[in-house]
Order: sequence, then C-alpha cells, then structure tokens
Amino acid sequence: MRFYQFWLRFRKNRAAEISFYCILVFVSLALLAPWLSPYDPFALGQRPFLPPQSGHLMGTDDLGRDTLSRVLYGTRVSLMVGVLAAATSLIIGTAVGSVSGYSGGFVDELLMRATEYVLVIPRFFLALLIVAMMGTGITKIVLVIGFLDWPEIARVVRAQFLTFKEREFVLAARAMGLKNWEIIFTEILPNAIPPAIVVGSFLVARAILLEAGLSFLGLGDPELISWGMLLSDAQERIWFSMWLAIFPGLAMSLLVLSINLFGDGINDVLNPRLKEK
Amino acid sequence: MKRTDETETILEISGLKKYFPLREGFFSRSSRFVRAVDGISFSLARKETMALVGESGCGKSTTAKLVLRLIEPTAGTIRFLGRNVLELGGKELLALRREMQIIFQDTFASLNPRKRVREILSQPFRNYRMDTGNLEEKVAEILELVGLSPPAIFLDRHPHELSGGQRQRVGIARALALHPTLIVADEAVSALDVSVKAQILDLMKRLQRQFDLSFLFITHDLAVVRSLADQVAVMYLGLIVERGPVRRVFSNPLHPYTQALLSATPVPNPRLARQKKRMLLKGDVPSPVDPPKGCRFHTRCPFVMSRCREEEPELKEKGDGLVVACFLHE
Repeated sequence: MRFYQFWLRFRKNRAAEISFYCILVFVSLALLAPWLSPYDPFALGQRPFLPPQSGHLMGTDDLGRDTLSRVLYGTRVSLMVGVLAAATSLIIGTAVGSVSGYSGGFVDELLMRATEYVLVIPRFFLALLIVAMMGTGITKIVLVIGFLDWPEIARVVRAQFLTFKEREFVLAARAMGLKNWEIIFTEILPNAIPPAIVVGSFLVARAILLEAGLSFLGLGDPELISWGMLLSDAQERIWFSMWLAIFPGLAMSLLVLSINLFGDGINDVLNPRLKEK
Repeated sequence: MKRTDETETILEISGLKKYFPLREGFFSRSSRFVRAVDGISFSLARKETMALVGESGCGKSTTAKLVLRLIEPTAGTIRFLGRNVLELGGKELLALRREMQIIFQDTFASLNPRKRVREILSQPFRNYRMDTGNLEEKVAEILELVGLSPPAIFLDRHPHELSGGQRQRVGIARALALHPTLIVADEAVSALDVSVKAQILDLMKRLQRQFDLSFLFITHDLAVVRSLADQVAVMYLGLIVERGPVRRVFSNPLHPYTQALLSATPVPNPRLARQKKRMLLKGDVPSPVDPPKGCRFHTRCPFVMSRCREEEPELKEKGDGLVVACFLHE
C-alpha cells in the first residue's frame, strides 16, 4: 500500500518515470548480455572498421570485433562498478554519519573534519594515483571509488541523526532502557536511510563516470570491457570511424542522465516541500 | 521495593539545575548558559499527582527530562524509590528505568514512524526479557487497557494510520507496559482536541487508580491541573515560585505570578466571568540567559518593591504544605 502510493507520486514526474524505465532496460541488457550479444565481444576475425549495418548494428572496431556486443558487455562493468562503489560509500558514509551524529561533541567534531578533508581532495586525481600505485583490477577500482565518495552520505546521515536523536520516540526508547546501539540501529537508522539512498543513487552515476575516466586513461581492468575503455580505443580513429565513440558515449550519457533524473524523482517524493520552492 | 506505606515518598528532587551552554563561535568556548532549570526542589508521594505549571520556556519540559535522566543535570540530586538516580549506571539504572516512564505532547514524534503498533508495544517486554511466553497476548491486553479495542485492528497499523487520540493511547500503553511507579506526562494532553483530551484524562485517572501510579504532570493548562492534580508547583524562569496542594493554591494564590496565571484562565459561567478581575502582565518572560537580578519576576510584577530588585526571595513555608517565594508574604 505504502509502496503503491510512493509509486503514484513518483510517476507524477515524467522524466523520472522514463528514467526509471531506462535504468530497467540497462539493467536487463547487462544481465542478459551473454544471450543478447550477436558475437563474442573478444572474438576477432570479422572485417575491421565496418560502419553500422545489418549484422553489425554498431559496426566493428580495428580488430574486427562487434561494437554492439562490446557495448553490451560494457554495460555490465559500468553498472556493477557504479552500484558496488556506491554501496561501499553508503556503508562507510552511514557508519561515519551515524557515529558522528549520535555521539556529538569531540567525536563528531573529529569525524566531520575528517569528512571535510576527504571532500576537498580532488577525487579523480587521487583515484588515478591510487590505482596507478596499487595496480588495476576491478575490485580495487570499486574500493578506491567507494572509499573516496562517502562524505556526502556521512553528512546526510549525520543530519538525520541530529534531528532524530532528540525526537520523542528516541527519548522514550532511552527511558525504556534501550542501549545506545539498539537506539541507533532500531530507532534512528531506519529513518535516516531513505535520504542516504537518494544521495547514493547520484553516487552510482558519479562512480560510473569515474570508472570510465580511469579506463579512458588506461587504468581500467584490462580483463574487462568497459565503456571508458571503448572510448579510449576509439579516440585515435574518431575521424574515420566515429561509431566506435558514439555508441558507448551515448550509452554512458543516457545511463548517467537516467540515474540522476531518477534520483531527483525519488528526492521529490521524499521531500515534497523542496519542490514547491 | 516495599509498597506498604501509603504516603511513602517516591521521588525527591533537590536543588536540581540544568544549564545549557550557548555556542557562540566555532573555536570559542561558551561562557554563557541558558539557565533552563535553576535549582528546584519538590517531592512526590505514591499515588499522588503533581502538576508542574508555567509559561513556555520556564523549564517544565527540561525538568521532565531531568527526572528521567534523559539529560544529565548540571547540579542537584534526584532520589527515586530511595535511590540516587544520578549515581546509578548500567543494570541498576536499567532496573530503575522500568519504574519510571514518560508520555509526550507530540503524539506523532513520540512514536517511531517506521514501526507498527505491535512492534512499538512489544519493545518494552522484549527489552526487559519479561516472560515473553505470549507477547502477542500481552500487547493485546495492554491495548485493551488503554481503550484501543478490539486490539486486532490496531496491531498492524503504523502511527500515521492512527488519529491523534489513538496515538496518545499507544503512547500511554507503551509507558504503562512495564507497570511503572511513576509516569511523567510532558504536556500529554495539550495537543489534543477538547473531547479527546477529556477522554485521555479520564483514562489516565482510571489507570492511576488501577495501578497505584504517581504522575508528574507537566502542563500549561490550569483546567487540567484542577481536574487531575493533588499538588501543584508553579514555575517561572527555571524556578518554583509557589508550590502546594491544588485546592489551596487555586483558591488563594499567594504569589503574584500564580495570581496572574489563574486570572488568565477562562471561567465557564459568564456572570462569574464578568465579576472576575483580570490581572494582565506586561511584557514578555525575560531571557533565561541572564535572568533579572533579585526576584526573577520583578520586571513584570505589579506589586514590585525596591527590595525585589536586589534580593532573591526564598521559598517560605506558609502552612498546609504551601510554600511561596515572595517578599509580600514574608
């Protein structure tokens, strides 16, 4: 019932609704990539530099690999990196924000200064540096992005904790003798999570772009196909076979845009007052 | 804990103070304080109801939270059932908490919006590991007790699916679940409609008789005080200015502030209302950051004397358990 009402309100925002369907399409494409791809994305041997045509809807690259198949497999990597990195950020940010907001005082001061410190570091360059030093690999990339992108979550969760820890139901729980960790987990956290999820959805989009940036500079996982890598491969040939850049670029723009609009839509439903202004 | 003596004192508060530091800048240490509660004392007997009245910002709600040790006092002692609440920790505090519970004004904020009534009311039982043989039955029983029946239709509702009166009943049920000795009601009926308010007050009276409860009733509604309380304490700017049996205080208020409060309540009978002399106070309550020197009420008192601006009056016994802090009644 509650979910249905949420959906009805969410649907009032047309752009968000369309974005939601777009995301669903991308997710299904990623899941079904092995069955949808007309060719093995790694297989050589087709004719190179074929422009889009029937049989190769997005053409082929310099080694004769099918671009459509490669874009489909790239969707998997991008989505996976995006979601896992954002989930990592969500966990770290929620932990930091909860402790900070609930304890207050010196601990809060310390954690918030640390958060601000991470926030002001130019993320992309630090990610570049760490990946260059530690070596590439999808797990490392996910963790690096996740560990750099949690400050916003921490701040949102902390703000929620500050509002809720003085709320009467929390006082009642304390009067009933609930321990601090019980209050954090059972009383406050369930109320603090929804706004954090909204921020988390934007982080998915940002992580996708960050990973693409790393791959574009050759620091992606060489074992896997990612959109950034496709773009990187395409750049020297862009003048005579621009389809190699256009299709992965389009896919990435569409997915990132959809995720951002979707996050906006959820935010509007959760904070209807913000939208009226 | 013995429950034999009828007039046993269960709660004894003395010299209770709470100063909230004002944050003025990022690096500066706060040197100024909001003196929310500035040294109050009173005691409460078993089965008795004490009302704490006063304007907004006089420190009533802070007192409520202090009594339950939801916030730590700056100074003073709280003895509850013969034990110093402020010295206890861990298991002992947990055991004592079972004996005192709280009900709030904002019925919406007092229930976790993400929990169902069932979860809200089973929590106290779970927390104290009471024989949870049949939790469901216990929760249903307590819902029945506060007049939410049949319980089955309320168990699976979220707070936003209940009316204000129903939410307050759930709040009362939660406070009552552990059969406490003392219930602190912080403006518990102030936000309710008149008819609902009457029902809730009736419910509280009935439960008080049934379970030998003591109430500390925080309110600004003098009609509520008259209908429910045995004792009343009038607070002004963090201090108790007059305290005593309700009948005595209401029929013959001694402190000018109490007189002003009482004259501001409407009288139902229009003929009596016309005869009534209104005593209007000028100005606002001064800031509790730096309260006036001498008697705190002197800036608004119609009977102010030069002495009031210099010295602070102390609470003086006036017989029949009435105490008042005013130089007019030295």
